[in-house]
Amino acid sequence: MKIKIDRKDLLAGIQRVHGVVEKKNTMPILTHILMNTQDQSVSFFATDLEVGIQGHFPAEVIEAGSITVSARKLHEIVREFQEGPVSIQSDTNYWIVIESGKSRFRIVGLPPEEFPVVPPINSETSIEINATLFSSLIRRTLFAAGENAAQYILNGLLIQIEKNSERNGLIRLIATDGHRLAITEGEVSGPNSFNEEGIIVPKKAILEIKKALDEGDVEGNPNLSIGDNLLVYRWGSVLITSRLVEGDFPNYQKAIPVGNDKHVSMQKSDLEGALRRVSVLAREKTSAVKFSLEAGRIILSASNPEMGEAQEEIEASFEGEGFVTGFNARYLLDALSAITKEEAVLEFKQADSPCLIKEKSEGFLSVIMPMRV
Amino acid sequence: MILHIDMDAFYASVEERDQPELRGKPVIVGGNPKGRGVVAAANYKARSYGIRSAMPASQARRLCPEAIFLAPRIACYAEVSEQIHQIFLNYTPLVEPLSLDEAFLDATGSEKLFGDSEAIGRQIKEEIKAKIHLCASVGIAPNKFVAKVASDLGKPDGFLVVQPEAVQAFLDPLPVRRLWGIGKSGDQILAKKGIRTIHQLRQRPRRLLRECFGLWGEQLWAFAHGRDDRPVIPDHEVKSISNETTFEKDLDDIDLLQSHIVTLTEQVAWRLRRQDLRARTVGLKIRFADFKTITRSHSLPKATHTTQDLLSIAIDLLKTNLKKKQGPIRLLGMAVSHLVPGEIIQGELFINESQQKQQGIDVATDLIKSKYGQSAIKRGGGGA
Repeated sequence: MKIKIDRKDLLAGIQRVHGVVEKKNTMPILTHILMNTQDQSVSFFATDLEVGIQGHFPAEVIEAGSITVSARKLHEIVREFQEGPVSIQSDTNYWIVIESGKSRFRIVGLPPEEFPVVPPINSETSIEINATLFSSLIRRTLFAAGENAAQYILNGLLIQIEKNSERNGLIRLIATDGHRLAITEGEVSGPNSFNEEGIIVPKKAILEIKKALDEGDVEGNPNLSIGDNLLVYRWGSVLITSRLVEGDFPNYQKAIPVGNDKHVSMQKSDLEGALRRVSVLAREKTSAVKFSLEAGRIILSASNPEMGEAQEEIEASFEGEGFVTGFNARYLLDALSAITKEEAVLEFKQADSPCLIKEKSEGFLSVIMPMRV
Repeated sequence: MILHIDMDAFYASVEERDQPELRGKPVIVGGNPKGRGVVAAANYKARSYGIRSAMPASQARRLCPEAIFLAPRIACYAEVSEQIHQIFLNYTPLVEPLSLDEAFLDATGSEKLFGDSEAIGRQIKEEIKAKIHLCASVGIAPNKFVAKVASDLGKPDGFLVVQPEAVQAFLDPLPVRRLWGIGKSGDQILAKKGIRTIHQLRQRPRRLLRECFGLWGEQLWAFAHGRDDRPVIPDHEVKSISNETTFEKDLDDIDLLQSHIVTLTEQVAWRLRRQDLRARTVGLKIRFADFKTITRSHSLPKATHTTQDLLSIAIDLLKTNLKKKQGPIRLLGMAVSHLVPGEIIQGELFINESQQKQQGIDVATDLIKSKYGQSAIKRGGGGA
């Protein structure tokens, strides 16, 4: 293989796939990037065997072929190059020669045929979804997904595709870490079939898809296909594949409270500001903030036996009998950040039962379990 | 100086206070006149007939047929106990409640504000009488052990101060049963060796106590010399909750031992829940007939206050440690430690059904206990 590629495109290619490159050296080839020539472009592919990402970038192909190269070394080298063309050439025994200006590098590669291949894609359900909408759906659910949760399944997002009307479908994203839950819905066009039970996608894949959505600037809509144990995302020249997580997602519908008749509304920014300030003195790890609801106001307070106390009062429209409960301030802030309106409404039943925050017009719903104070 | 404050015939006195027509009559809280249940508390009039706590109600009725039996109102006693606790806190933050009706206080740091410990003790006793209309006995001494003995000796309406230089003279004439942990059988063992008073005991070599009681003998030796360096640990710094029982007769029947573990665990779990705590570690203490004592513990991945969770571990510990035959058991203790305050417990969205069921059982039994008393409802069988 021999190509000439602009440094800018080369760097973009590396960065596109860098997120899934294995950092640990358990299987050396997974720390590499596979580069493949195609007509007048070169594809970059990396995988950790769970998630795979492929991107195409323009290049002058002098001799067709493929190479694998250490992602970290290639990145370190290219990052230090000056603007301009870079030449990459395969040498005998999988060595690779990289030249730019007056610099010349010769580094070891591995046999490209040993690189894991993109799994065969035989999708059953396929949908088109607006990139801005999809990115927003992800942004408003991902925060609630588990981070190294003991219950492995909670580290993934549940995606369901339902029939909405004659021609359209409804995509629903659900994330929960067992303490809070976020659900978003949006319309999608042209599902050829549905997947109401849903698939569970690892958080890492969703993060990469979000990144690709936000960076993409191609005409048309991204395509999502669900195949046998595989999710495939395609938009422009970017292809992301992800294995699905096997197992049963918790019955999230049962966790959505009904009959939360205590509605408390306030300026969203007031509550956010107060939560941020008061939680400065919350006990670390828990961000526990005491939440006292009274007629016309909420009093937030926090105390840390080693540091001191903080308290702040905010105006809220609420009549009736209040209560005292507690929340992880982070959980409330995350859910509030998903609300587009300036006014937020928290729906309660009683002190120890879940709080509901939703924005129906935007297809958003979140449930947060309180902390005991 | 340490203060030990103990309410006189607490449950019965609260009842007498709230129902003046009971005054001067023998009042028994707990059990019923048909002879079921046990006496939880008896007023001094009833005690004059020989009625004691933990006595079967049937026996109490035989001793005093005209005694008035009342159902316990634990929730009410707990409320009064809290009011008393608030009075303590006005004088010192170092208050260690032992139960609803007794507590240790360390008022050393408050002497500049309120006068010496004796003056503080007087003020507290008077304030309880004036505000709560109940009588407390107060013992004041350089340490917990001596303070408790002092308040016990003064009862009822006692007020006894033992100055540091008077401790030995105070303890010496007392019978050995006054020592913490010496019960019927310990008493018999010592009596056989001709030891009846604390003075006699402390004349004997320390080695003798070690031979009779093992490591615990060292503790007894220290008590006999008026030494006790355990600090007063305020409620919010409680590091463990435990309960133990010494059997009338040494036991080796696994089913019987298991049923004792059930009772102990129920009490510990209930105290845990009342204080809004959860525990990470469950410990078991076994004292064999030869006084050899072992403690074993096991930690959980997640803190819990569910009786069933704690119980299954306690029973496992018991079974594992009885495999190697060590002879009959004279004492069993159950403890929980690594306590996590309830306030930092994050609620769970998805509770699995069996967990939910167990928590439901605890809520319901706690409710019954708070209304009708500890003995109103109990787990059946081995419980595992």
